[in-house]
Amino acid sequence: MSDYSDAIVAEYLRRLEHAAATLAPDRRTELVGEIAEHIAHARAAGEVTDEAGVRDLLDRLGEPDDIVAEARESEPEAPPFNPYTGPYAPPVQQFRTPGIGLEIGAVLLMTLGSLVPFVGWLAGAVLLWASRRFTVGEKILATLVVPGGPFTILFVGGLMGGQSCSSSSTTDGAGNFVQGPTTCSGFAFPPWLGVPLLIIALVGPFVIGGFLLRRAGARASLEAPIPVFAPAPGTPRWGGLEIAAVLLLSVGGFVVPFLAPIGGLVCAWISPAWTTTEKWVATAIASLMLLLPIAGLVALRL
Amino acid sequence: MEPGSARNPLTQLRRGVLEFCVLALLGQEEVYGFDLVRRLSDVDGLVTSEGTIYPLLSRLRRDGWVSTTWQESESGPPRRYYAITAAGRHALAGFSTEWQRFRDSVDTLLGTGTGHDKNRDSHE
Repeated sequence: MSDYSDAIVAEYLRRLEHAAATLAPDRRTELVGEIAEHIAHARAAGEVTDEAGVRDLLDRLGEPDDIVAEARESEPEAPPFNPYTGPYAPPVQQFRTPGIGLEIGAVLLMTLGSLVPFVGWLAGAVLLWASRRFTVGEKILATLVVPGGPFTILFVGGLMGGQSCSSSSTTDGAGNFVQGPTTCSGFAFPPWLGVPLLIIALVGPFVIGGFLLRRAGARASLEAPIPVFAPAPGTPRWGGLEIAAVLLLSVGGFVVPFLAPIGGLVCAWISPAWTTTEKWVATAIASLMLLLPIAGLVALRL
Repeated sequence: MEPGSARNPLTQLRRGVLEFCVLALLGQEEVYGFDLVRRLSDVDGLVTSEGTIYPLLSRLRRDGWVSTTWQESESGPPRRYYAITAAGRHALAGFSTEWQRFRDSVDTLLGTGTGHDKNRDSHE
């Protein structure tokens, strides 16, 4: 056997291996091994003595593509070759039903978010108007039901102090106090009207919000499934990073103002498991938590 | 192999019959891979390329119709010997009966072979 004959055999086996890349790894190893054995036995039998003999041997074996095709045909029980399976395959294309994270974020910010005066509600309103799942009418309703959000009403009420009344008293010549006329500043509803209005203002946005979320959810369920890449095996949707983001964005902001929400924001954006929408919701919450201490300071000074 | 030949009825027929030819050969004695392939290859019209027999042998092994053992060889590398199993013999017996019926019927329709003559003789 010349070196050139060895090269011909090596080239043949290389082509076979290449063609067999479509087979399961253990099947590929087995097949290539058997063909290599066959060649070795032919050589041991002394029937391959020159280059012509090698070429004849390989001709009798057949084209690598044909052998691999036969191997695939001989496995009817195996699923047809799928380039999306196997150890080096990209993740299988999967679909998910559309989520309503944006809408939930909008409603939460426009209701509970108004605990941070003005800013929280405004962030929610931006998300509300960015959503495709609300009609214009619903957006106007949600915006106008309580502009500024339910808790802003309390905040504004606290700043204005409602109605304050004062009366001046003077001392007359005999040293007696004389009650002057009572003057009132500001405006207040009479209690019989003010209390129900306040309750409606506080509860209304939550009721409207719940109603709108149900409609958004119904519309989302009718939408086409969204193709998503399955996360790598073993990547849970809620790993340590995501839990850390939630903790930092929620209670963290009260414990360590500014730093915790920023940390949570970083965690949210580097998370491999969350979608972009979820990350933007996290961003909205983070900006809320960043403004919370500022709003608190402003309120104290006023 | 030309494109689409995997769907060629003759290719399919040959593939279906070939595995029982392997079992029939092994029914007589244990044979090692290279020798088995050469014997089948030497039968006219049965095998188009020797390499395609190996995937078939793998399947027979997975189906439990043949078993293999490695044996040292005085000349050359160790040999993988193939032997028919009880399940293989059972399958071969079933195929043999069916094949005779099938062959006779096809021969009758094609007007070839002895089955046709016999039938015609008995008919007349």
